[in-house]
This record gives sequence, C-alpha cells and structure tokens, in this order.
Amino acid sequence: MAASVPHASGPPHRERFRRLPAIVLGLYALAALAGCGGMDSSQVQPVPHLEAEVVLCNSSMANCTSQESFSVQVVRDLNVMVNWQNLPAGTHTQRVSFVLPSGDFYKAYEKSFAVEDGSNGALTTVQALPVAGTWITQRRLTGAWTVSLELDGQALSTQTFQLTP
Amino acid sequence: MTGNQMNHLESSLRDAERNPREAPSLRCAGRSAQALAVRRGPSITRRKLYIAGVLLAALAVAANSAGAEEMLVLQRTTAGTQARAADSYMDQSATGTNHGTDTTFQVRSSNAANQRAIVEFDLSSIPSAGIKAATLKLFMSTAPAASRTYGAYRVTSRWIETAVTWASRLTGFAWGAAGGDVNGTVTTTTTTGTTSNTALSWTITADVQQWFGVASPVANYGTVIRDQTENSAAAQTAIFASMDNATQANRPSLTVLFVQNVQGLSSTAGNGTVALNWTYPAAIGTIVSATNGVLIVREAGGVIASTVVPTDGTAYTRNAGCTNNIGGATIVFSSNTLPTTFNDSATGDNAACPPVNGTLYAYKVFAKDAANNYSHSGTSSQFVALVAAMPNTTASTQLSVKWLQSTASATLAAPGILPGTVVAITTDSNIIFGGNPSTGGFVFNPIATDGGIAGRSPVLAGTDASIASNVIYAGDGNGFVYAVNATTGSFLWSTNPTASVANTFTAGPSVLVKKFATASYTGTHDLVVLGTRNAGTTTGNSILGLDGNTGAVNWTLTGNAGGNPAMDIVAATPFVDYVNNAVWVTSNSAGGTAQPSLWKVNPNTGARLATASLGNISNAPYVTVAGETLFVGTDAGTLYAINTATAATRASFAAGDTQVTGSVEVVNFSSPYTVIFSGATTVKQVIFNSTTNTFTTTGAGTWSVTMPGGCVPSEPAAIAAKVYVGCSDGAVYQIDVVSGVIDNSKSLRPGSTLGDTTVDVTLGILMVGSTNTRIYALSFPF
Repeated sequence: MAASVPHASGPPHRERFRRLPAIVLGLYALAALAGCGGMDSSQVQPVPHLEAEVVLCNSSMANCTSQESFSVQVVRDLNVMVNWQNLPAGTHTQRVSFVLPSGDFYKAYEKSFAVEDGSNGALTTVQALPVAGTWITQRRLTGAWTVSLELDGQALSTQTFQLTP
Repeated sequence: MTGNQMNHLESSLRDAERNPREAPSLRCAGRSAQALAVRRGPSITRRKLYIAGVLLAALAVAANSAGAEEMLVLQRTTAGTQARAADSYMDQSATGTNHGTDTTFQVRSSNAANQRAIVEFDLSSIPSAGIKAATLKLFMSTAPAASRTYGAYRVTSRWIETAVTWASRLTGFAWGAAGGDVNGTVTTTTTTGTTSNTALSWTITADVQQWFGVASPVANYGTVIRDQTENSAAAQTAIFASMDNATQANRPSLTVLFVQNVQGLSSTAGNGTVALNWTYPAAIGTIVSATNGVLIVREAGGVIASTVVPTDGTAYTRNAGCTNNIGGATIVFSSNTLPTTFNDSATGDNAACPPVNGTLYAYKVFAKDAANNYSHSGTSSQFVALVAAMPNTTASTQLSVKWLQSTASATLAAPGILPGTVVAITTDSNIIFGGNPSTGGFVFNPIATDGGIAGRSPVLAGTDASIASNVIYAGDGNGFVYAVNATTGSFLWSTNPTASVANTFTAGPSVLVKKFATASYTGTHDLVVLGTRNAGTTTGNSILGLDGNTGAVNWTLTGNAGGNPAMDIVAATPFVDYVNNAVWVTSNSAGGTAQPSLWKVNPNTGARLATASLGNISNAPYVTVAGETLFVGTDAGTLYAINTATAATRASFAAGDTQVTGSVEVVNFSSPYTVIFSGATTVKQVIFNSTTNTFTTTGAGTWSVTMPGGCVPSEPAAIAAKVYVGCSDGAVYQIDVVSGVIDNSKSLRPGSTLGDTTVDVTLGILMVGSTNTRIYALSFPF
C-alpha cells in the first residue's frame, strides 16, 4: 500500500496507547505460529508475547511524535506507525482501518511483510492516511475517528483520535 | 465543432448527463470530456444493441430457472474465456525469473530455493451473489517424493502474470514480502500424497466471500499455494498443470456455489405504504437447489448493518407481532413463491407492522433456495439487494429510491457515468465495478486495482473515445492509472506513470477527446491528464499527460524541474479548455502564495503556459464556454475570476465562508455569468461581468443559502432550474436557482456525509455517494 514503509527499528519518540493484554496477544501468537509455514525443525521454543505499539503522528514531523489530535489545516498525511515485537517468522498482513466520527467505515489499508526466521520479530510499519486535499478537508470530516489494527485477520487494537477543523 | 462548443461540452459533464437534448445555449456545468459522448446520446448502433440486450435478457429469464443455488466451474478453456485469470510460480532460487507463460507451475520446499504457485481466477461471470462455497482444484502431474501439506493463502497485493517473480509483483514493484504478499493465516491446507496425475483441492470459501463483499471486502488478487514446511534439506517438489497447459481439463479450476441476489430492487413510497419491486436473475450455472422465494427485513433509520443476514438452513417467518428479528432488523415478509413485489402497508402485505409515515426505512431482500440458503456471503455481506424509503402523507415528503448499491468504502466523488449505459463505481476499497444506472445492478463485476480510488472516474463512449471502447479512466492511491473497458470490465491498459507508489492520484483524471479537439491539439490519441498527490513534497509534484490508447506518458510537468516553479499536491480534477487548447490544473501551494496553485498547460507538450499564485486550491477549475474566464475557489474561501489568456486575476470575492467546496457551477454561456458555489456551510449565487471584471454579490440575481444545521454542502450541481447538493447531515438538498430557497430535500442517511451528485438525464436519475458506503439513486426533481 502507498506510504507503508517497514523500518528496521522504531523511532526515538513514541508512546504506547492501548496495548491489548499480553496474554491475548500471546495467544494470538500461538495461533499465528500454528497457521504459518515454518521450518522442518520440530524443536519446541517458548512463544514470546506478540506486542503491537501504535503511534499516530503528523507525517510532516521529523520524528513520529505521538499525537491524539490533529488539525486538518496542518496535517498532510496522518501516519499510523505500528511497532511490532515478537512477530512469528513468516509472512503477515497488517490491516489498518479507519472509521469516521459518524461510525461509517472510511477505508482500510492492507500491508504484507515478512519476518525472517531466527529474527527477534521486531518490525515497524507506517501507514499513511491522506488528509490534505482529500474529502476529509473538503467535506470537513472532523471529530473523533477510530483506527483499528488487525494482523492476519485477527483484531488487535482500536484507538480514537481527533481531527479538528 | 468550434472550440467554444467544445469548451461547453468539456464543462458540461453533469449537465449533459442531465439532459442530452438541451440545446447548447442552455446551461452548462461539470467538467469532463465524457460529456462529449453524453450530449450526443447513445448512437443508433448502441441503442440497437441495448434493445437487443434487453430482449435477450428477457428471453434468458424466461428460459431459465430464476435465482436458486447454482454452481459454476471457472476454468480457462476455449469455451470459457477467463480473460482476467492468471497463474505462475515464484522461485526463491531465481528471484527475478517470471514463469507466467509456462505450461506448468511448481510448489517446492527446498532450503533457500522454495517455490510457490500463484493463481487468480476471473470472477466476472458470477454476478451479484452470495457465495456459499468455493473450491480451488489443481491437477498435480508430478507428486513429491513424500507427502506434503500445501496451504492456500489469500494474496493481498496486485500482481501481473507476465511480470510476477519471487521478488516482484509487477515490473519495478517488489512484494512487501518476497515470495508473495499474503494473509499470514492459511485459508486451508491439503495433503499431496505421492501419486502423480491426481487433482488436489482447497476450500477457499472464506476468501471468495471476502472478494464478494463481506463486511470488509477485499480485492481479488488470487491465491498462493505453498508448502507448509518450506526449506526442506531434501527438495520436495510438486508440478501442476497451469492455465497454459495443452490439456484443458487439467488446468486450474475454481468451483463456486452461490445464490444470486434479486435484481432491479426499487422502492416507491406512498402515504403509509412502501412498495418494493424486483426481478429474478437468469440462472448462469448448474442449478443445485431450486429457488424458493425471498425473505425481506426492514429497519428504521435508513440503513441495515452488513451483519444483518439470515442463517443458511433456517426458515424465517414474520409473526403476528413482527417480533421476529435478524439483528436489529424486523422480518416483514417471507415467501416461498416467487413474488416480484412487496407492499409494505396495513392494507397490503404487512398488516402486522406497517411502516410509519415520516420514518426512514431500509430494506434488504434476500433470495433463497429450497434449502433456505440465502443470497449473502457469510456472516455479513455488503453486496446484497437493499433499498431505502420513507412513507409520508405528501409526495414531496416521501422518499423513493430507484436503487442503492454498496461501494464498500466511503464514496464522496460523483460517480462517472455514460448515461443510460453504465455508471462507473470506483471505490477506495481497491475495486471498480460497472453499475447499470437504471437498476444499480452490475454491468461488470468488481475488478481489483492496486490502490483505492477516491476521485471521479470519467466514462467515454466508444464512438467518441480514440480507444474505440466504452472506457473508464481512473487513477488510484498507489499511483496507478487504468483504462477499463466499461462494458466488460477488462483492463485496456494499466500503468504507474511515475514508477512510484508515493506519487498518488486522489483526484480523478480529465480527458481531452481528440475527436472533439481543435486542430491545435496535435496528439495522436485522446489525452488523459492528472496530477500527483505526493504529500512528502510541497515542491516536486507533477502533472502528467498520458496517451488515452496506451497509457504511455506523453509528457510530464514537474515542480522545481525543467525551469518550472515548485508544485505542491494536486487534489482536484484538471479542466480541459478546448477553446484555448489548454489544460488547467489546480494545486496546493504549501499553505501560502509564494508558489503557484493554478497552472495552464499546453496539452501537446506539457509546457507551462501560465501560472497564478492564489493560495491552496483543492477544487477543480472551470472555464466558461466563451473561454475568456476561469472560475476557481480556494481553500481559504475566495472565489477568483481569472483571465485565461494570462492567468491574471480579473476579480475576486472573499465569500466569508471559510472555504470554497468543490468546483463552481456557471449556469449561462455569456457574460454576465451566474456563478453558483458552495462554502463550508452555505451555497451562494453571484454574478460576474467579464467586461467590467466585477462580481455582484448582493441584490438581484444573487442569493446565499445557509445549509440546515450548518451541514457542509458538496459542490453544487445545477439542472433544470434546480441546484442539488449533498450535505454532511445525510440529506440531498434541492435549491431553486431563481429564488435561492431550499424547496425540498431527501434525507438518505442521517449522520452520514453525502458526496457530489451525478445526474443521468436519459433516465431522470440523480446519484449520490455517501460515507456510509452506499450510492443512492433517486428520481429528480424532488
């Protein structure tokens, strides 16, 4: 998807918001491991808990500094940065969905990435929501938006943010 | 045809859609070359074809069992085209090698030399339907030495058969994950065994249901088959017959079980009544279970959640108290015959719980077979037969909906249309489909694009377009541009003209139609013009001119390059100015006036002819029929009249309403011009005199309407002395052009925002999209 850029590591400034209980994500990790292709090796390894840290920021900022409110007069793209930890090896698809203040579904972005076998499962993705010059500014779709995160079809987290006139 | 006439036609998209019989001296509006085709109306040939098609369709309905649960086997054979089908395999040991034309493909587990098959079927033969089951079958000509487990994975990115490799999905575009972007959770698995010349099957029902519109529909990019335990020390390989295999029977197949939706569902509201009408589709596959009627549910409020679907295998009835519900919707009708109408009223078919005047209702109509399998795709479903209506005491306060179609994402762009023929429903969910403007049914089924499409996609008639096909042009959010056959849904071409996903297209393209251009235009074919929205730069965006027949880049004008000034994002559709043989493009300007935001471009060369620095502009410009004046509104709320010869400002008017929303309407052809435009909360009409270069903003001939509740209006669309705007309160407002009074409105979905309107005057239908992922079609005037 456009503007989805995997990075090797997270940015220096970030804040955690609403991380699901580790046990839930850990269970998800087990399921993900069971569903993904793996190596011939049958050694049983402890399954680390999958973590997803989500940061919303203005794309124009040098570092993705977390914000919860954005002026549509200022922000060009709203970046959703996801800092993954302990991703199981294999191919994954992240889905980032946006819901309007009215409750209407706005749109979703899917992004696939691979986690190498033997890595620590750390990965950062950035998904941009275009704002400047879009229907958001032209029709003033402001208010409390919701962004949801899924991995491989499993819902992981939901967070609200404000778009202000 | 003169350039002035052409300017009128270029500027007359919406108006031409509204009334192709209007003389050129009447009003004009809009901005797309498709109007050229529109105003002429369908050719005799097309009319004949259309009539013939209707007759054939009628005969087909009569000749086949309607609806039912059907089975269709999709396979590339000489009889079945599968034009959009594709397959190949990806080889980790040769990451840049394409195998798209091989007669076989392979799946291999081998250390750092794995191979994965990728296959996609053309689903266009399956119309609007609920998917009940889908099975992928591959013929394994050579089995692995030891039995393996192969998984089927849903692909999440677009790829092309002749370009796909282990490293790349398209030429120049790497996979996000080498070896194929797929959903990380396997859809299903099967074991290979060790016997060659056997068929293997995977049940991929869930994936096909997603392609056919579950709650969060995804585009059909196909399926990857891979070994579930890759990197074996000793290679394990299976070989399968591909779609290019000489033995047709061995080629990949997809068997789909489905129940078609009813067609042509419309509502007619009355005083305490709502009448629904529909027809049954012709069977297109082998009938597995005969049709057994319909189930209708109703919900107040104008929309029914996609999760409101009946459970397959369950028979439902309306009880005396109407307390039988599915989700939040009331069961109002159930029939085991084949009715084509439902009269929702106390004296009709629903004495138990008739509709209440003044209440907005939504209805879903599910076809069902003898085993009570319903026309939906699983636990939720977007593409179902649904409609809305509001009964009331007087005709002017009733709401009847001609049709209602899901778009799977918020849709605020006015639908592109070839009147009476096809409406281009392009969505931000990476799909395009062709709608029948009369019924809302599919002309062609959803096809997958690389990214979402947020802007209006123009449609040209094949008799006018240089590409000689009814064609939809669209640009997407990943920087790809498409020409789609508006009859079949096949891609005529697709390209990423900047070879980058960062240079996105959020506004629709405009088309300079060579057939109607003056001799000043020297291009060989039609010219498709659009501008990039690369938010990462405020200076280096581009305007591109593409060959309408091939997608080749004829020219590019880039900010801060070739002597051009800086160019910020382009957020609006360009305007083709036939009179002056120019293309006008607006852009943002980094929030100030230090760099241009209005560009005049030579369509032959892409040379910059003139610019103006007016501040951020996210709205399309409009050039008068005479060609001497351009009108454009800025994001800061100023309406400009521009001299088209020099791009200098003739006059400006600070409208005092925060912003100008969308393009303007000019309702006459010569100065003084009557100009209508929307702001943040108002719609205004002003007069501009191009001789004296003055705006008249008060007094006779002017008005300002404040939208009810301060809702944000769409750009105005004027037709037949009325102006229509969709508003952010979920209603379409009808404003009288003379008085400036809102004389009627239709509330479609309170709380949602409605988009720009399109009118098909051939059919007398107004269409408007919404943030609630629907397009509504209404008769007009209200």
